[in-house]
Amino acid sequence: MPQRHVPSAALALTFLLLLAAPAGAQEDTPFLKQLHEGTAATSLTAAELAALSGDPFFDLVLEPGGRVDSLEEVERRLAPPGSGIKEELFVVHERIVSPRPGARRAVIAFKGRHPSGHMLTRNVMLSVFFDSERFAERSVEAWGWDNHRGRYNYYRLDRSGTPDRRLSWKFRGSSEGADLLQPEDRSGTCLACHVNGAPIMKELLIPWNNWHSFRFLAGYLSPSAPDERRWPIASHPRMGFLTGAEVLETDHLLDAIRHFNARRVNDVLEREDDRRAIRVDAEGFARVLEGRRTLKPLFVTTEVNLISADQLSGLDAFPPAGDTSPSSTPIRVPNSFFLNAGLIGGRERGQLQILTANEFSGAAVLDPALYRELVREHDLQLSGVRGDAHFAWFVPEASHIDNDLVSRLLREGVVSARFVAAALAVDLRQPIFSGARASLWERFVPETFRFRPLAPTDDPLERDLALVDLPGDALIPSVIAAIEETEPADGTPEALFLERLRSDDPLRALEADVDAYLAEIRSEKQADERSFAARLFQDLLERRRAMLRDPVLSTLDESRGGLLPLPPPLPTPAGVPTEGHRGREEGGER
Amino acid sequence: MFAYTDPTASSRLAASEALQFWRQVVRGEEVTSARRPGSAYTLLDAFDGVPEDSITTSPVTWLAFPKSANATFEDIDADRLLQDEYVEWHATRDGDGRLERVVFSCEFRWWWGVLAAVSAEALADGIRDLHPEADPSVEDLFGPGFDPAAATPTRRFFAFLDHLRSNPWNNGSPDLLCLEQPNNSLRALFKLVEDCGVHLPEIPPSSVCGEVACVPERNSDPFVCNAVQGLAADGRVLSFRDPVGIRILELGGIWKLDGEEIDVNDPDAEHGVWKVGRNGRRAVFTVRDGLTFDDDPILTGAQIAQRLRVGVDVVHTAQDLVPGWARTGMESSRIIT
Repeated sequence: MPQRHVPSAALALTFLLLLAAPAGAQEDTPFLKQLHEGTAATSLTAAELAALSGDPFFDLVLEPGGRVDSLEEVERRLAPPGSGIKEELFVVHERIVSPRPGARRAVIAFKGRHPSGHMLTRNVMLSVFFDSERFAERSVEAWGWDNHRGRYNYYRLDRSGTPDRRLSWKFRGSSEGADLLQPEDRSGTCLACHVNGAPIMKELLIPWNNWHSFRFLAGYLSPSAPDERRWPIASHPRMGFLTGAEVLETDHLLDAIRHFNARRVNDVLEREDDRRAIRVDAEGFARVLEGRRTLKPLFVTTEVNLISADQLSGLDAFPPAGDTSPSSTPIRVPNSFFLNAGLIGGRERGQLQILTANEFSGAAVLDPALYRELVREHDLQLSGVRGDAHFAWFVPEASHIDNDLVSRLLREGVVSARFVAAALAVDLRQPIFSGARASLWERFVPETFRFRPLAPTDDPLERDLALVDLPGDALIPSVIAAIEETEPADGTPEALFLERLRSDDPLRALEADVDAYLAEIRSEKQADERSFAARLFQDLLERRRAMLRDPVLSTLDESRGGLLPLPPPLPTPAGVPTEGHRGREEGGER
Repeated sequence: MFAYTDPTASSRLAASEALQFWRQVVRGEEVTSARRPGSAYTLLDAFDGVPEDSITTSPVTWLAFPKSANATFEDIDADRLLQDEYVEWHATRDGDGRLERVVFSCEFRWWWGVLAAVSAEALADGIRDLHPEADPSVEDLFGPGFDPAAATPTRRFFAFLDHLRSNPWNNGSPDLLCLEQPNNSLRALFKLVEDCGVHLPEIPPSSVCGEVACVPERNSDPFVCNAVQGLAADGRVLSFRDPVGIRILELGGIWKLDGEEIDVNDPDAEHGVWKVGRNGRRAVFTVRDGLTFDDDPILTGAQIAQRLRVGVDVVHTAQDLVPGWARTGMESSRIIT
């Protein structure tokens, strides 16, 4: 297998010297550092440059120097002619269904191994805006995955930060410690949206509302569309790489999140001195060194994804071309609206496999006419225009990155199914933004604890040490002791959490909760469908508002009112203002 | 009649004198679909004479994992009826329950049925192409009490199909031959394209799947339907590229052997983890010590299917480039036979 190219510090120093070359030398595009929007860009130190080597984007585009001052040149560096590297271009925008000319964001990914030896698949991605006529060739955002250091590095090409507005590349920060940042520290950085530091695709799952995909084909971008429907940009060679969002999800983002989370978990485990093997003591236990950080995604909504029903709303605020007759297809409310279906109803190893969690959508089927009536009645708007998203029931859900992390913790034995089931039983019906679960994390999760690593073939749902066999500094005894100290009152979240941790079978207890919840949903709908729909709709609006009130996640609405259909006035985030993040029209990766 | 080729790209059908049977089977499906009033589907014959640069081949791909199966990965592995994305697999485990090998197949059962139609020996020869030491009995292939020598080709064809789910060569001894789930059939594939090839202008293309013989909850159906409906809306005529059928395309994900990332799709790689054969109709995954998938051990075939991309190729062109009888609206033409 080709060796990965890892340039030496000497080469990095050479690059610095090139940067300082006197006038008359080759005019390279400078590479600087700018961690916050609107601040002056500064030079990188030799150590900072050396710390970027190994990141394929740095190694292939920035480190060699030269005049890399356009998207085209970046593409040439990453996918040189004859290299066999495959380029894929994905398109997203809140108004994507409308054929009216306007801005769109292109996310560009690559597949294959570069002649240098770098694997580009999942390891490099670009983001650039375009409109009906042209691409913004000189305003490019990028990230690269440094597999050696286990971090994403973020970059941008633009004219900000230099006194003469000279075009320059900027290092915009890395994913190290991203999850630990306070809201005010994120403002004006890439980490305002990349909350945990990993790539994001807000509308990660089908039907990928706001994306060009097989569920919505942006015909005006197709070279074979009739002239009167086609944008001029459709003839650009780059549009030959146009690919559906379904591929971005399955071939890029899911893998990127998985290997990022794998590193996150590995990095918080106590290791032997040689920093390779996980340290296992004489009793067969390993130790988590940053317990609160590691378990936060189980209790706190660190990120969200945006899901919708698979059915069209029929009330697009920005309608597509052609017939816009209302759909008669019943609206199936997504499972994840009701509970954390991804984790509770997940079917693979490391998920709780309570399959009834996947039946809510079949129970909550709404009359599309009733749905549209509710949309109108509540005067939903997007960017001040009355209407709904393209797909109905567009709503935040528990994020894949949070669920994937918990799933990994389960597979490795860091947490047990007992613990996860007990936690998820608290505020079960509030899959995200649960203050009750968040308070449990705040008050009771220890900073460090021991755990018995799970063998790869052990079933996390079966292998569960009896409470009496757990040492005092294991997670569950620690948490039980901490809760008991507070003498929780009946009916409180901590009382329920404690009861479930102590119970014989928290997993079956959670399953019973889910069954009862599902039965209630069915009864409620059967009793009075209209009231049922109205009640759910209120919950839908409140879920959207909660996201816009969140001091961190509100930033995801880059268009400020164009993402989540709501009646005016829009809620504002509590706490730190989110100034400095560039809006949708200018930049910012999704 | 178009000379449909063997989808496995083997010489088995020709050697067994079954190729003509196969061509009749495919022709029958093509004619049925081409005769559907208003459908953009047409016979492959219609593309003769169309300039090559006016014919577009569009791959329609999807993931092999049965999205609509509300079951655990282990249960999906154990029950072929849950595997409904035109791909099925058989997982072989050692005595300790560890996964050793997973064999995936996209072969239609009618392909094997035409071998059966020829003779029991032709069918056995087909099995020996996969398992050289195989010695299938008549009872294995047709069920108890059936005399293939005394039966007509049609009776042998149907006896084989009727017994398929109990045929050990298709069910774990040692792996599988072909698709047995009722919805994973050649007819179902043609029916899907036939229905979705009727342009429904009052419905957005992405919603057509819920209105015709298409299951929106699957991975496969919506992709195929959407693509075909879009072509119909653009005024194209279409057909399946020959040889018709589903192909195994690519295994995604991050695969590592002893911690080093490998290109699992490289056919020349020494690791031998993933071998695709029979023109993409069959693939064998071999689990090796030290092999991980997304840093996890490989425990089920369903886990692999989550990242296995399969697909079918659709050829299409402008209406005015094909003969009049092949255009949408001319389905009653006597030429379509």
